[in-house]
Amino acid sequence: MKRATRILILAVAFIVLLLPLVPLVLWSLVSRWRYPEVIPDLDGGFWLGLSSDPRILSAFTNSMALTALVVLASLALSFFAAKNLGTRSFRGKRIIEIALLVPTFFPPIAIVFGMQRVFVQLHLYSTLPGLFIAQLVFYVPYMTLLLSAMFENYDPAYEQQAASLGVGPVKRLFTVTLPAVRAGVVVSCIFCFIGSWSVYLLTNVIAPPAFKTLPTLLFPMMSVGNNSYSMVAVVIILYIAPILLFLTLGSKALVDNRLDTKKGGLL
Amino acid sequence: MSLSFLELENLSKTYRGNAEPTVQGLDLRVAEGEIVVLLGASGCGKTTILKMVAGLEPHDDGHIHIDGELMDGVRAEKRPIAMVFQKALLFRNMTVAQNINFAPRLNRSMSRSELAAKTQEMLELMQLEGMGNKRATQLSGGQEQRVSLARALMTNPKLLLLDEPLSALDAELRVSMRSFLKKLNRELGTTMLFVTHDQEEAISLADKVALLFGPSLAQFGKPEDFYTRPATEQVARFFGWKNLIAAQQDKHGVRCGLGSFVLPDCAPYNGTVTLAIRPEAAIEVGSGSILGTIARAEFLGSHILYTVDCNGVQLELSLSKRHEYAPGSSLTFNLDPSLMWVV
Amino acid sequence: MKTRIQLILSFLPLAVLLAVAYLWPVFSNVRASFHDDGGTFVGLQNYSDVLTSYYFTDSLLFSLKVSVLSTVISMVLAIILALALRETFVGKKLAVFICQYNLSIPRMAAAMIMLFLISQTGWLSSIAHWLGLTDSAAQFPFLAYDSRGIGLMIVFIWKFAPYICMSVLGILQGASLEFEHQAATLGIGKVKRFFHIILPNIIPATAVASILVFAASFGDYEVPAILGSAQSRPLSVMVYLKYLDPHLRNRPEAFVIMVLMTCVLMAVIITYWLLVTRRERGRR
Repeated sequence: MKRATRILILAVAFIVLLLPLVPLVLWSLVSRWRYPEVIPDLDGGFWLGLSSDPRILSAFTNSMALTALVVLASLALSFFAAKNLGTRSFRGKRIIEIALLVPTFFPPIAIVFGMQRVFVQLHLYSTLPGLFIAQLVFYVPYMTLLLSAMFENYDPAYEQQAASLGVGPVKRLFTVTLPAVRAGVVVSCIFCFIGSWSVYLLTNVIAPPAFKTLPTLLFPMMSVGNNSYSMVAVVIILYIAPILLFLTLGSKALVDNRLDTKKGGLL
Repeated sequence: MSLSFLELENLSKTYRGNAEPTVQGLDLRVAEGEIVVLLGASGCGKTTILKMVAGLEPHDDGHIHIDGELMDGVRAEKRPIAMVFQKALLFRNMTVAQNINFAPRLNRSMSRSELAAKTQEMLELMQLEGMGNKRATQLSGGQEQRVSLARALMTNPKLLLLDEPLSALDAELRVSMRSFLKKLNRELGTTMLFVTHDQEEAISLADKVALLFGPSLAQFGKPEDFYTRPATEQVARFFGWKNLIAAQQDKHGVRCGLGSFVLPDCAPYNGTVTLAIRPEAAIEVGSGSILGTIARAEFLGSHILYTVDCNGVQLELSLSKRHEYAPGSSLTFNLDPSLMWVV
Repeated sequence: MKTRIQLILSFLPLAVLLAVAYLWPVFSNVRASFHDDGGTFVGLQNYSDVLTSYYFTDSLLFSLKVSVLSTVISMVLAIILALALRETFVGKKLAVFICQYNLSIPRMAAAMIMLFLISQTGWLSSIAHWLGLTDSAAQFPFLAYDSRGIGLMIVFIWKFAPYICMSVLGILQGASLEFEHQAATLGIGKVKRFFHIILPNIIPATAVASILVFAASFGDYEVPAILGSAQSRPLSVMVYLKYLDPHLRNRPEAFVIMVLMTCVLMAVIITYWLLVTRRERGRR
């Protein structure tokens, strides 16, 4: 590819990718913006009113707490399964792999109402434990896929070496296995965080109506006839900022651990 | 037109983001029909040189001439070269024959009958008769590399570039492929530029060896020169010269703790030099000029390697097993000037 | 024996979760699709109602159109972008990071952000007015809320092209480059290299990523709920409306659509899985 062509393609691509962020940031900074103003008068917008609206802060903390719990629980519940899947071969492995793909890549719309009916029967509907379990259904399989892809490049011989030196199983886990797979675990947790943090439909259907996360707070704001999007823009920025933060923090691990598309799918 | 077939002139390359140049000021001339081996440790830039000659990597400075034609800025596909890589890189979706005739088939540079005949000829030359219809994935390592070689030769390259093509093969196969390559070179007269990090491979294959340390050439010459007349102390060490002793040289010869020596082949020089002595240089004699005490003996199969203490100078000497000396006993010997060199 | 038990134990939480909270709901959906809203078994009645309804075919075709077009366009753009990205240049790490970031933006946020940009009173429209290209908002092309699904496709492509690009880039920087170099030194020119080396190399990874993109855009609810028009609704929105319709009579139809969507997506996932395993076998 010629240098000029390449620069042109890259320039166009990144303008298109980044352009939508301009009106987003502008909207967050203005309280009033009428067509056809190209640059509105910046007056701080809803950022100034943020502290006066407790719903947003509580939705943010709700989201963070729920997602953190989901990621940690998914890690705990999937770690050994993923290790076995990545490092051992056994009968039925293929079946498990496809069973993991289904909840991961299946759009929730096709399942969420069935889930609601079952959760009603189990008295989990409209409860926080129910919401937590509902998210685990999607993120334990996802985490298992991500971690097992990472474990495919892990050599269990290190553990055998440690065992032969007289190190017990628990110490082996913390001194040998975990340090060896740390970067992969970090990347998997970031992807799992992004997934769980983004969830709207599931939370909307299963959660108690009073329990708002950022996406369930945000969604109706856009649907109502609204002539100032400043609040919407601020909430969107709060919604995508943690993703940017975690991707930045994990960018070194991300580069070192480029995950195979087979399993690193994030959509 | 110059006399050399491949001419590299002041070739330099610094990769973006690197402070140090990978190749600097390299001059190299290869005559037609020669095998020249670029020898160096991994990461010293020898593959970069090959890629620059191939046109896969642009050079920052200097010129490349192939057969008298300036190659600067010419794209890889327009250069009269073919390259064989460390991996055979056979196209998996094709048969052996399709791999071999890949280039002329895609470029429609041969008629159909010519293509078939030439492919057959190549299969025979590479001792792959009857394997034309096998899939590329069904071959052994040595066969794969021969197919890759055949695919390169099908383009009738003026210059064949080989980037460690034998390093993925096992030891025995490597040796037989070496003589096979040499035979091809004699039969077809193809000029070859061969990259390796394996000293033994370089010596056995090359008409000339270009030894690289870091970004520039340390020594260029016939393989035996490296054993008899190394250019620098570093080259001497690399080629197994164990004993490097500080000495004084003047018009009468070389003086050091072991005595005085006359080395007629060495260039005259006045001052401090390093005297290099090959372990094989010692000749045992009843009453010799040098007396030493055996400090250590190491049995190495056909011979014994002694560490000998002579007058405060430690020498490593390799002697036959005729006499065995125990540590602590003394040894009288002379040194063969033809196995000594001043660097 | 001990390792066998360990193996089974390690998969136990996963199995319980999936059985109770995934398989059971799927089964419950299937069951509900054969009953009316009162719980009486009606056989295939609901299915025939849906398949002959005025909305279903339109909805299905709309869903397919949007997801197929989004996937194909994303794929083409992704390959072009990956070819431009693969060479080393200053700022490459940042460029790759932007792609990674873009594909990580939640779909709901992506749809809303796009709305600020492309709606008739959005930023692009204001810029068009400022440049003198349009006189009023109504002259700006109808991109958001339009019945042809252009707004939806813009969001999907914006988000998914970087995703496919990342998978293609992985291949282009790895094995493909070596083969291209081999071909170049054999005298094969650029165009032939693209068709005979690059394309065969990237097709498997592109296909795998594209299938996931198809599944994601086919079943997505949030983007059409925000940016879609009332005239043409994809199946996902149909499910939602039918299920939450105050007339409970419509619920069985929602279940039928869910089951049909599940079938389509199941076929897609199986194709994906077959492709992936075949690609792995090809590597060995």
